Amino acid sequence: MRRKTILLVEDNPQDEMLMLRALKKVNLANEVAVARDGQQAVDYLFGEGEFASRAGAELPTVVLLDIGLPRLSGLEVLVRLRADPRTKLLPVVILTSSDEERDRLRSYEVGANSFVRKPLDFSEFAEKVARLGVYWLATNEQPQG
Amino acid sequence: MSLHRFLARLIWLCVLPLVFLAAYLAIDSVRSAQLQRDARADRLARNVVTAIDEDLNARMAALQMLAASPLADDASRWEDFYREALGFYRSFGSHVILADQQLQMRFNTRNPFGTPLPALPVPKGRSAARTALTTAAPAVGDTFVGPVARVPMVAIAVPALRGEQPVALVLSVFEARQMQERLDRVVLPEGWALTLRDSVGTTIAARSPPGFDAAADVDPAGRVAIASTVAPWSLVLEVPRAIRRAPFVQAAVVLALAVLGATLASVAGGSLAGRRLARDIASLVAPSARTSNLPAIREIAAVRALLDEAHGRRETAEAALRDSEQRFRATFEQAAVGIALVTPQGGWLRTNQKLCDIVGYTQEELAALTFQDITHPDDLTADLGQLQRMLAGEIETYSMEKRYLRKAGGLVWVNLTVALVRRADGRPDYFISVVEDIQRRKEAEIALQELNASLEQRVALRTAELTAANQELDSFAYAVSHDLRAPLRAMSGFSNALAEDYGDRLDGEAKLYLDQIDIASRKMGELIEGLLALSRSTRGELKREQVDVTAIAQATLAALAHSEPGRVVDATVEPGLTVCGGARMTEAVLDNLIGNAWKYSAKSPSAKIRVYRGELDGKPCVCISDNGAGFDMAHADQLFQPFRRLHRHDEFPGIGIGLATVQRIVQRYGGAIRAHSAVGEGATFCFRLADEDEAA
Repeated sequence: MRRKTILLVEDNPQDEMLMLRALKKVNLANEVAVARDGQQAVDYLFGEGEFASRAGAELPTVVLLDIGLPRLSGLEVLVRLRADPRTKLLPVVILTSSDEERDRLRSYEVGANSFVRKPLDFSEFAEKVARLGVYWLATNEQPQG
Repeated sequence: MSLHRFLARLIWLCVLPLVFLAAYLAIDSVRSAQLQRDARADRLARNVVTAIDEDLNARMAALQMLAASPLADDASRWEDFYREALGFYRSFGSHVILADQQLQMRFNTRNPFGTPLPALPVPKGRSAARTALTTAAPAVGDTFVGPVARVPMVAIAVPALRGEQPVALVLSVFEARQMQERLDRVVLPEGWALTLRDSVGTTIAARSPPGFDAAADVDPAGRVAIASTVAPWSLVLEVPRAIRRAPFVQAAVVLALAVLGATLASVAGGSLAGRRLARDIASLVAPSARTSNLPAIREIAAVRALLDEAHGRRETAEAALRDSEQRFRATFEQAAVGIALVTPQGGWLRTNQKLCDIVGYTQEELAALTFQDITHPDDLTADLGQLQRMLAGEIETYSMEKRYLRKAGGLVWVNLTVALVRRADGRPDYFISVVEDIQRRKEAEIALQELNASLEQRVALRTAELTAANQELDSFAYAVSHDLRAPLRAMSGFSNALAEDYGDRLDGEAKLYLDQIDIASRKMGELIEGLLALSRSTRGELKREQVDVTAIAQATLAALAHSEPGRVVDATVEPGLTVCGGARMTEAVLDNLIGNAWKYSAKSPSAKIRVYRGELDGKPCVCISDNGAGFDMAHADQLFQPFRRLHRHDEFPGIGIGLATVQRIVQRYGGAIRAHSAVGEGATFCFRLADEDEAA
């Protein structure tokens, strides 16, 4: 059986820590890879650059993608993923502090599967992240291929 | 055709039928006279022939009586018979001859009885003796020369019949002279000729005027021949050609004279009348000779009077026209605007001095030019287009502002008004162009336009600056929403994680401090939310649609009741409330106002909230009232300022951004909001979004 993993793309180390803590609480921390900017995320997924050794490796089950990223922004990453046949159908969840209407619209336009706002409240935030992990890894049915 | 010739022709046309009629009547009368004469000739000839026949018949009857005498049979008694025959001679004056069947004379009363006698002479034509012998009937013969008397004779022979056979012939012979005497007795018109001929044409007797030549003087029509019923003779009556024609000539001469006379009379009378008529009519043709005597013919005199009247009227009209023309000329020349008559092709027909002043050309120079020549090329197309529409009958007139090229160089702005004058048959005759010099006005206009343009440019610059500032603000707000939240989340997150993971190792005071970090970060979160809402209220699209206020208010109240189930609030919302605006913006306004009402009525014993239709500045609006804490109207001016609060936080929590947001939204829509309150007596907020009347 395929190993189910999450790629978390997050530039803020504190958010990363809090998210990993939340995923650990639901026993999903071991399945998480982390990219700290957009370019790194693209390299990781396509097995290029510093991740050249990963070429041909399995894709993660879901990508949790922040919008405000250095180098390549989250939406730019998403546009690249949707343009490539390998990652055209890869589930991508936009996870962001923004609740701007235009960010939400733009995300769905370029092919996001889901748009989730990071709540300010800690417990709400932890719960949301945990539920996301469980949902995408256990509940959701993957597209074939 | 001149009147004279017309009248001459008329006269001839009248006279000619009369001439023809007279000729016809003359010919007819001549012909009937001729017929009468012919009938008279015929009758005359017949009468003569009848008389001759009667004479012959009488002689024949007497001879028959002689022939019937038995004395004729016996030669011995011929002497007695001779004596009887002498009686005949005495009666008729003609001798009697007895002849035998061999035509030998036995006696002749001309000679004494017993005288030897020759045989009967044989005439050239018919012989009476032979005929009588062969036909056994009395016969008359042709003329011959008597062998005894030696003069022209004629004979009547009667056979003496015994049984059916002639045994002898009794003849009577008389001289042709007797016939001549008879003819001489006939009353014959002068010039006529009578001829008695035997069967071979020998003349027995004749009567003719002197020098008469039958062959030369007589036509066949002038000859009548009547045959005798007793003798083989015929009587010929001849009328010479000259006598026959005499009536024709006579009639022709009379006719010619009559026609000539009548024609002369008619022509003379006609030309007299014609001359008079011509003179009268000539007075109509040239009525200017008014002093000349008036026409004598009444109708023409009437026409002349009418013409004189018309002439008088025309002179008056012409005088009026001259006056009018003079006035027009004065108007045309002294008008304060340029006026021109222009051909349909654009040539200047007539121009006034003012127009010349405007364009700087003289009238003579303009006459050699067209308006196209001196129109600014950029204005020509529009001008010609309008002209074509007018020629096509689509428009009556047109006005336009255009530029002329002045002779001295440079342009002059004019206001041109053109009208088209058409001929009676609808074809374009000429244009009337009125040209007003608007150079100074145009200059002012252009200056104004330039000013406007520069103003617009400045406005555009300011707008661009403002837009840039707004965009900056926008990205600032975006940064706030995105970047300020992350550290807050970290503060709140890690303080919570600390309490969760290491809470058992912390004492009461440490936990209190951790709580303070959490409270502070939450407060800051709220402030950030408020700032974002305020910023959002001035951004985004301005939608205008019918929004159901009643439904939103009810939903908001329901959500509030759900969040605080313990509170009892008497909330009423009037049905059918609407505003014209964006749904999200309306929602933000109502959330804030109803939220405030809910919040500030929390301490009232029986809280009441009402949403209803009101009136603001005479226009419909939506009002939200409560019976809560209210506020002092003295501070009403601070009510809508951001972060400005009229209550302490421990009384009523809040960050002071809600009403500022509401006011910005209302102002953005061009609406209005107003508050009424008194401390402890609750507050009423009334607002409307659009300035126009909404179905509130």
